[in-house]
Amino acid sequence: MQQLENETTANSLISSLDFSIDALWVLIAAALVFLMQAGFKSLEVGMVRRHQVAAVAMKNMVDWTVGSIIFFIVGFGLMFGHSLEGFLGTDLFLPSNWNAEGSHPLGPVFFMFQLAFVGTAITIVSGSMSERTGFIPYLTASVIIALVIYPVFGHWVWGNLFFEDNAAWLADLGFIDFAGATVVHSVGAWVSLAGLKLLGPRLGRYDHAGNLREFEPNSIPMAVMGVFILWFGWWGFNGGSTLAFGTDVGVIILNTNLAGAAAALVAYLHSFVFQNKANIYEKMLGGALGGLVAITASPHIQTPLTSLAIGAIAGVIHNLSFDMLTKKWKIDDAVGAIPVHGFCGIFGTLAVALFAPAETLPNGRLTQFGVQLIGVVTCFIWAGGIGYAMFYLLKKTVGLRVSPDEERKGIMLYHVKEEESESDPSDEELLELMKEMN
Amino acid sequence: MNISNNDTNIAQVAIKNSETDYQIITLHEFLKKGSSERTSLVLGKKAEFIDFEGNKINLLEALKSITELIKKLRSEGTLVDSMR
Repeated sequence: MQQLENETTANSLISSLDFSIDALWVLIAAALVFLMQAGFKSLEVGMVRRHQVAAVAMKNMVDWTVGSIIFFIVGFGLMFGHSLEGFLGTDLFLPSNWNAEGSHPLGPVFFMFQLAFVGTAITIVSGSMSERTGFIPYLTASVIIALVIYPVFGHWVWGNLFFEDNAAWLADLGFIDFAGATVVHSVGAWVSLAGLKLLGPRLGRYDHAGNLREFEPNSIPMAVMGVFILWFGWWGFNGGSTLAFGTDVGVIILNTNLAGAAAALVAYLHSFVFQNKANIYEKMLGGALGGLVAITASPHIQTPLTSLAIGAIAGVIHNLSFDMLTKKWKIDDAVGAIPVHGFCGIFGTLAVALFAPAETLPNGRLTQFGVQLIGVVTCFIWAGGIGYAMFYLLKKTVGLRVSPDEERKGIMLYHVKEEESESDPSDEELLELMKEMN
Repeated sequence: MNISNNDTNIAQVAIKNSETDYQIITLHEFLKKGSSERTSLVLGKKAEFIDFEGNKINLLEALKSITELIKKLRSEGTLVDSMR
């Protein structure tokens, strides 16, 4: 009898210890993902031009503050609340009771981990649209991403993480996106693409012939530091997505690291051999991040070898999409976010069906590929579509773009009245010339 | 047919719609606007002409350059086509 009691007590202690270790690990992982904000800040400050660094850094600050509040009030509920037919969460707004029946035991720790992901999605948009977007449209975009765009798509894929019995229509099809190659990264990228299409390139970005003009980055060493911080943060991003501290955490982090390393090396070599070394630093840095994004969809079921392969292919995809966007489509993405988060996100999500061992997939390989494709296309339509509508409305109301003067001298996060030039010509002179023009 | 980028050093025109709203358009798009609208924008200091390096072009120089361009297109008989 005494032995049975002792065993029960021991089991209870072990169970409690397991829970504490899981909670601690996920909290550490959330901290690592939070640290990625500093990584994005350093990367973006390194990649943009010197006169824009203050505004870019401050926008990263805005990402986190806006995301923290909006996601707590509404976003978390839409993403993880009890589901309306797998499409939308309906409760957990302004959450105060973390012990609802059937909810995830980590409660607030789970919230903090998820919040760190929202911040990442928002900051992707701020980076790509740097150097010419006004503060008001940017702030509005951050709110809408945290309020609707991210949580609704997130519900479709991860809506069953907090309440296990929740429906989540993409997850129910068998869609796999372990840590958010599509949910986090592609959402940010497609909102960015919509914004950039409406915003237009930075002044002076293309020459007479329409060729890309190089803008000197503020500091490549700063950008490299940003990539290293991001890389480190990715250990939490992917490793923490287990939501428990098991033996698989080590494998996940190993696979993550291998994919990033392979992508960086291949992106560098590809640029060196096939692309005339154009933007070679940006491509190596972006390639590393592209590899990390790609493996994010499935680090838990890949092997080290398939992780290397996914990373290597992502490196090439990054470089090709980088050139296609900037040179052919004339989309001026200030920090190269769309090749990294968008194109490598697509590849990584599809690669789940191509590279993961068949027994780890919920469907046959071909069916799984179809499901992954549905998820990727849905994300593009949802995030790109709502993003486009949002930026279109902003353009037609408050406007998207700062004055040319601010673009040249540095964006202020508050309004400064422009000084009139004393050398402006008289109205008579102007009228005379305008008559000649007509 | 559009105005060729080699005809002028004006790459873009920034139109000030409000204190927080600037729109960047091409020179071709600017010239396609009605003459009264163009005049109003210029006299109201709401149009800024920008070169291919992103620098501001002096207003008088920009207007003279556009006038020269239009004269040239007229003399070549390609003005109407260019404005399409």
